[in-house]
Amino acid sequence: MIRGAVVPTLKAALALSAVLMSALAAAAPSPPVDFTGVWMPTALGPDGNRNRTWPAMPPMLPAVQKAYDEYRVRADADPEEYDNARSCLPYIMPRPMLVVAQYPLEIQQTSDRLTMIFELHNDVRRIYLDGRTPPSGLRPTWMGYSVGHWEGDTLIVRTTSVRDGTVDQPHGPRLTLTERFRLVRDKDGQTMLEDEITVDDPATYTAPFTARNYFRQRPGVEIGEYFCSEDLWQQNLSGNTTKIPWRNN
Amino acid sequence: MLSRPFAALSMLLVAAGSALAHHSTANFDSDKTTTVTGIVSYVSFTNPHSFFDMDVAGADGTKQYKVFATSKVALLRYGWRPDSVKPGDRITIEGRPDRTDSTQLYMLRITFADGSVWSRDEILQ
Repeated sequence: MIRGAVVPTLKAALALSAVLMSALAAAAPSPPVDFTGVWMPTALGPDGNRNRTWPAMPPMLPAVQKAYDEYRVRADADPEEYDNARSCLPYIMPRPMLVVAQYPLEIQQTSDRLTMIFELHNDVRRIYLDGRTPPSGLRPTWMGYSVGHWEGDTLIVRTTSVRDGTVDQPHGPRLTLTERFRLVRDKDGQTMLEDEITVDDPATYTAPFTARNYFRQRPGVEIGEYFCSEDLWQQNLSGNTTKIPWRNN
Repeated sequence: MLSRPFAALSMLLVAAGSALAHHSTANFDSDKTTTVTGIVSYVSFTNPHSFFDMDVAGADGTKQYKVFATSKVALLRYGWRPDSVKPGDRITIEGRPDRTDSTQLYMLRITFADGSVWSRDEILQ
């Protein structure tokens, strides 16, 4: 008898929770802005002046500066050896967001995720919008781990767990990037996507600093393929053996 | 020869030098321009960069030049096609010479076999 009473109660509870869940889902605000589309980084900022993505950076801590200076001596002596075109490795965050040349990115946005597909290096960046916190024990990656939320029409994205090794902008494993994505108008009233990136890495820099990049939506542009060792493969196919300067061949 | 479906791109692109931002251009002398005409012997229409080998006849014999350009994926967007340059084509290249090897050029401007011209300046406004 008792069991017979419990089952209908459970069923009712389940039905009620289903109703509540769907009501909650319906009540969840839809994203205020849809960034979906193909975007091209711009040479000119919204004021029409040259788009300078990196500001004057604050001083590095002395030990970091010393290591960086030593690295620069090696890299400047043999720029090709230290060129990432040789390794075909991708960029490390935040550099993928600060490219200013000729390589578009595609944004696909849903209510719980924003995905960036970069033409350069065929990179993919996932930004979770479902309210999660980054899992503990993450291993550092090239893109880091990104979670975002909306504040009005601005998407705030926090990225941690970025691996070290960025060449021109060194950082350590405790780097935190805070990005503010929003649509802005340029001086002619045209829409641009602004990414304002605050770099906070107290183990590397004496103060946080902020970089910006701008993108224009290009509906006619498709993301192409960028496989970064085609030159070597084509030599294999053709039998050509001439030296390619950015390679070790 | 080249279609220009994205002429508007000229608005978008970037400071001179950054088209090869992930590959150092420091080895090319931005103060010098060299113009050569020759016969293409090898074409690498590829990522991360494209290059052509070409044989250039001169007073002291034939030299092989190597001409560098940006990535295939970018050139395709600027209207290039995989056969825009082919082995056997007679082309003229205007480019920045390498500081230590004057037979290596970074392409600024090309006159294709059919006489049409593509200039990197058009994309770097």
